[in-house]
Amino acid sequence: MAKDNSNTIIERLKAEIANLDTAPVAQDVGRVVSVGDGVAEIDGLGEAKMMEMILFDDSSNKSLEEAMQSEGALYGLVLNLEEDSVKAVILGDASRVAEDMLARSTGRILSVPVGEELLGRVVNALAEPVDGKGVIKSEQYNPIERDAYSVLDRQSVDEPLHTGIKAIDAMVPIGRGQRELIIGDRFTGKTTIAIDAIINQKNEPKETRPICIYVAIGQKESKTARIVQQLEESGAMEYTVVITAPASAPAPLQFLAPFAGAAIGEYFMDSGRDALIVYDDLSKQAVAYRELSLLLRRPPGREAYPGDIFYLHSRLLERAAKLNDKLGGGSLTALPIIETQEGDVSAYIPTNVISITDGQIALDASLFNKGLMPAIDVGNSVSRVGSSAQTKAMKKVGGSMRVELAQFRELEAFMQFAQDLDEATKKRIDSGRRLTELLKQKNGEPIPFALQSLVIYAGVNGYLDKVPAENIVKVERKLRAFLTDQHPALVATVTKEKALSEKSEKELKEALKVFAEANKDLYTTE
Amino acid sequence: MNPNAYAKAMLSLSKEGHNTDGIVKGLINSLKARGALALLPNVLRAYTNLIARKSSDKPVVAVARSADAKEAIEQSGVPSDTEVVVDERLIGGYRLEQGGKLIDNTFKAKLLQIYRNATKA
Repeated sequence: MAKDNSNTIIERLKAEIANLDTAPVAQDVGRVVSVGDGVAEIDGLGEAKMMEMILFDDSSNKSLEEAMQSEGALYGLVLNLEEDSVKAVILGDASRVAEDMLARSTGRILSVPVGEELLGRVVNALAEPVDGKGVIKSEQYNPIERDAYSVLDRQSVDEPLHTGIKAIDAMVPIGRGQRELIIGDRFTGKTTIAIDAIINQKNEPKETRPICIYVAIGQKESKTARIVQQLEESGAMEYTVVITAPASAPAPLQFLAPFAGAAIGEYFMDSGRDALIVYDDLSKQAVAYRELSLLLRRPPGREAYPGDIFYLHSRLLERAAKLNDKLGGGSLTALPIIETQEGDVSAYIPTNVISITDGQIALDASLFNKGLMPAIDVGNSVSRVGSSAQTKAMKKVGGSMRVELAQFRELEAFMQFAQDLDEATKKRIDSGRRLTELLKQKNGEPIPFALQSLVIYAGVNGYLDKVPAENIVKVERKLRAFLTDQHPALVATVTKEKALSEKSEKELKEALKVFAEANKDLYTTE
Repeated sequence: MNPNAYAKAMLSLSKEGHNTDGIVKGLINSLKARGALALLPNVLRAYTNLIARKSSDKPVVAVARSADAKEAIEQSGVPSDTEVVVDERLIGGYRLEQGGKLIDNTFKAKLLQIYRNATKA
């Protein structure tokens, strides 16, 4: 056995020696003149390109033996091209870079491996595995920076991407290829919405199920581990890639992670499939980019962010698209997340991203504290293109809901001061309360859209008017179970037709009557 | 103001043939007028670095043994008075570096290449 191994090694060495190119080749090189805070200034490299990877050659000052024992290759990323030098961020252990070290040009723009091999894996910002499941043998590499598709390459968003969250799918619908911002204070459930949306894709047929990419930027590693575990337990990891650039990662990796995610997502979009990417969160990426820019001595602007902070986010989010049929009809839907401070959506980064995206789901800390989860502020949430992608079934049942809830919120505030209310107002308030209760949903339990539309139908068409508000959550849960168990054909028809036909509506009405009869104890007796 | 900008200005004036004393006096007066005399050491350091960078444009040949120098100069096609550095770690061959270009034709580089290719997973 040992002899076989040594023979293999000898054969391999012979082959390497035979193939060795001994012709002298001129390489573009530079010398590190200063290094600090993860940024190296390199003299030379006259032909370096922006975003080019350079190789720090720590073997130049070492003997052959020492060089053979040194760790893996250490790369840098060119971010500043100056008159006599370049500035590069070090993508790894900066302590390995020393003054006068040789830096070689690679001629490669920073690329990451893409492909099916990444599914189910947890990788870092350079798409290197961090889950201990072995190397990723991918044959294709995509540049992390790429021009977004042009207007002519796209088509309008017309296919829904269901999140499994009633409040979103009914009132702030998202279409495949859309960019919908999730915005809110800390601990208001932003990540939960994104993760539920990923888990809900399990309810989609396999052939049209979007591939999901979750990019964790500047998050605690424990949080990312918890999310991965949740995705694994719900069976969502099989169609998901997790990219992590934790809070402990150097700023360049936190800045690059979303771009790496976009490159991976584009692979699936280019192959005619749908993909969903969650950037959690872009506020932290902006902070990392600010740190990087200040270290690169770029002039600071508002709140010390560099002047191109808007372009950073716009060029990233512009890569989300719905391609035309000629290009395969694939799509990349982006759900960027932004964390606000004390609900201030008018701060610099939130306003930037609000203006780039096609709508936002605003989360309100006061609703969250009242126990209304998901804590979606209906008044401030909007989807600019999603309604054209909404299914007919959902459009039919959820059309009036938004207005009704907005009116309820207004009346609710007024009610705190008013003593006597007329019957119509009281009725509207009761209905609003029931609707609010109906939209409550536990995290990690996304609901297929057909079931959502059926229960919302019951809510908006008066079938739950006799249920006290405090029983609504229980009734809704029971109703879903009842429809799934007793009327699977109805659910299947709505799922297939994506609409509530007259026949289905009739069947549903009958089913609701039977359900009310069977659950009299949960309804009021009057 | 950036010390590098002063250093570059000094270098270009020097290249244009201006008197060195005049350049230094002009620099000090200018810094005084701006209340930035504290920048002077940084400007001089930047100037020294700039001069060092410009001198790195000259070719340098590195060999493992001094006996290899003549052959290395011939092979690399550089002038015979080119600076030669002896570095035993190169094992054999030569390395030529000039103005941001490197020709690494050393045995060490080739052996390292064979080792890395052979041990690649």
